[in-house]
Amino acid sequence: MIRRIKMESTKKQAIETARNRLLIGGALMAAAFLVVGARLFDIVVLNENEDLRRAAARDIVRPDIMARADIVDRNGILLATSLPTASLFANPHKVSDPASAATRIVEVLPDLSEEVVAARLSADKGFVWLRRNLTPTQQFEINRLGIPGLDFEEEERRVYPHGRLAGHIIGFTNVDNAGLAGIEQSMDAAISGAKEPLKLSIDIRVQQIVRQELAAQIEKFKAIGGGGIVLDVRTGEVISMVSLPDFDPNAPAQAPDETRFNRITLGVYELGSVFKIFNHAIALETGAASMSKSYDATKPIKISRFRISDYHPENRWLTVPEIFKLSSNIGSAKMALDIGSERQRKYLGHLGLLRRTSIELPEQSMPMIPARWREINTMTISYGHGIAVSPLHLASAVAATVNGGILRPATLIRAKTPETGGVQVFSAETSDKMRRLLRLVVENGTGRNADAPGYLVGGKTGTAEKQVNGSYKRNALISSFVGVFPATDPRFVVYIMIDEPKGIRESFGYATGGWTAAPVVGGVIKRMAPLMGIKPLDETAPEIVRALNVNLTAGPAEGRPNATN
Amino acid sequence: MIRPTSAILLVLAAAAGGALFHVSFEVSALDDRLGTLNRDIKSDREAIHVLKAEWSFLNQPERIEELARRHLDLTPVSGKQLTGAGTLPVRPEQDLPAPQIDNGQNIDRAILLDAGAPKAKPAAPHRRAIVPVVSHTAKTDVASRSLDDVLREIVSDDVHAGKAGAR
Repeated sequence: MIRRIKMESTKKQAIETARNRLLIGGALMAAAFLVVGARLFDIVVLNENEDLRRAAARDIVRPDIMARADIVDRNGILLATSLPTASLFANPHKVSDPASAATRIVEVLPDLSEEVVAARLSADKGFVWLRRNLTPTQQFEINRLGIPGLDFEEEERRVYPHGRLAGHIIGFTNVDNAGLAGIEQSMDAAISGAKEPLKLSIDIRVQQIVRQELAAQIEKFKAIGGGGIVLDVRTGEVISMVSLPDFDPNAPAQAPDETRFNRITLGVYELGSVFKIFNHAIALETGAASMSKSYDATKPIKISRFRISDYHPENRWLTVPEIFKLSSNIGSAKMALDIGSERQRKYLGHLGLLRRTSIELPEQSMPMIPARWREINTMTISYGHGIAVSPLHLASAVAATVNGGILRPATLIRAKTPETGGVQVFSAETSDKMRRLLRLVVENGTGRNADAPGYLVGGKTGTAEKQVNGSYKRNALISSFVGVFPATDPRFVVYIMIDEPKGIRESFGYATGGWTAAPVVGGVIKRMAPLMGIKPLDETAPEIVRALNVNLTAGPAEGRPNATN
Repeated sequence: MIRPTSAILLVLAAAAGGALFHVSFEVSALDDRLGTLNRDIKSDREAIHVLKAEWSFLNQPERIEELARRHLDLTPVSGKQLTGAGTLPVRPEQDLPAPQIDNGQNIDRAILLDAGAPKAKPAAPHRRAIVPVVSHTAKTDVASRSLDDVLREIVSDDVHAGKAGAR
């Protein structure tokens, strides 16, 4: 009996132990399932998982394959883009036989030197570049060599499909795609990483026209170079900017230094008589002279050791419009004296001629202005000597003179909202008078060669002697012409300058602006106006004749003291 | 002896296993396909990019001008050829007198409008224009040449391919 009881209690105890152990096991299992369940809930419901996001991201192709955005012209024509290329590098530690590897690589890439490659391959480094930017064929050939330790890095290479046509504007980049010149440098931050192409204000067709016409004239007059710019007077947009000689931005390293020089923005020149535009505008604006006033241009002005004379002396009294038409230095200098140094300086400042331009190019120069603005400076500046500005400065200021008197900063970027802002420099009335005077010069003054039938070209010639070592050289000229059209309501300024043209028989030995630069302006306008959708006008229509009429005779009350011819 | 529930569970487990394998293989196959598609898209995009650059390269104004000069019978538009609708002469009708086209200033436009007239072609206004030697025989010759012929000539034009040099 006792033994049975004992037996029963042992058995009971064993069952109790087993049950306890089972319970522990069960609890562990339940806990494990709970963890699994919680994780499942986390993944399925909460879904905030780094791996999942990375996996999802891998499935989407990056929409922008190029790190550097394209540059296009105002009509969307591609001017600069990046092409995918492969660059060859090596891990010298893995190259077993540098000498034979170098021989075989040079067979595929003959422009590399065998010694240099061998030296690089035996260097004690983990990474050496062998050659950047291979063509697909070269890449295939290198791959076929099967040399261990060589590998390719996917890279981009900047290409410029239009080559030298817009080289000075767009600039170029280095092998690591950092901008080194032009828009590529100044807009570097905006271009790298942008998805949308950068739209310039340039029209590549007009660019071609200007370059072609200018190059032909430089050739004809045996000049050393030249420049041309077309500016929209309403928006300040640069439609074309050419500087010759130019370079191919696809291979900037091979280009001689002088070809990389942008005459339009970086060069500052004494531009000569084209400055009379501003002299006349300031005189009319300030009331220093009126259209009917006359000045004595009978003999040259002598002031200290200087002598101001006319290129084609008329030796008589000239009215203000006649001074402009005949480009009289004497008359202009006398008008400048009536304006006064202070006012002249103030207005030139308003026209932006005494500071840097705001163009989006790193290649820019500060104008050269007299340190002390004396009377003699005022007189020479009136006809464009003693002050040196870039052609862009000039074109921009001329645009302000003819567009109703509003200076709008010149830009290379396509304006999103045109015709906004700007500073009123001259009154609309002065601007109107200047348009008449400019038309007069082309109609029957020094600028006849610039005329383009139907487009009412107005303009002014400029011929300046270049300063070499502080003295003026008689046969080294900067001949230029600035044209605006249509004169009744100008749309574009076309400025052409030719550097050191030599007189030829066809021009009767002359190398002045009217013979060299003016025909280029006329040629450019004839070809670009139909492209830009400008309607030709009937020059004999009464309203146009009235709008451009200039009275060349002096008023009764003003001018000469008595009627001597 | 296996009980019916166990049998059902076994079958279900086997089915689940089979389905899992199937899905897993399918996913792997889809993943491969996705990879291929992505690679294709990338290479196509690169190709488009290169072709755009080439298109721009082939559209250099200088090249177009040369091709147009050699293959087309066109000259650049001059200002004289443009006019507004307002300046068009009135169309002649029975009850109207002859149009006033001979008062000097409208004569160029009037000639241009009358394209069928034998002297329709104005003297080349542009100095780089082709001299209009297009007689009637030449005209039919040009007309009989199809666009295909012209295109073939342009494409096989290896002077320009050589000049291009970048490719």
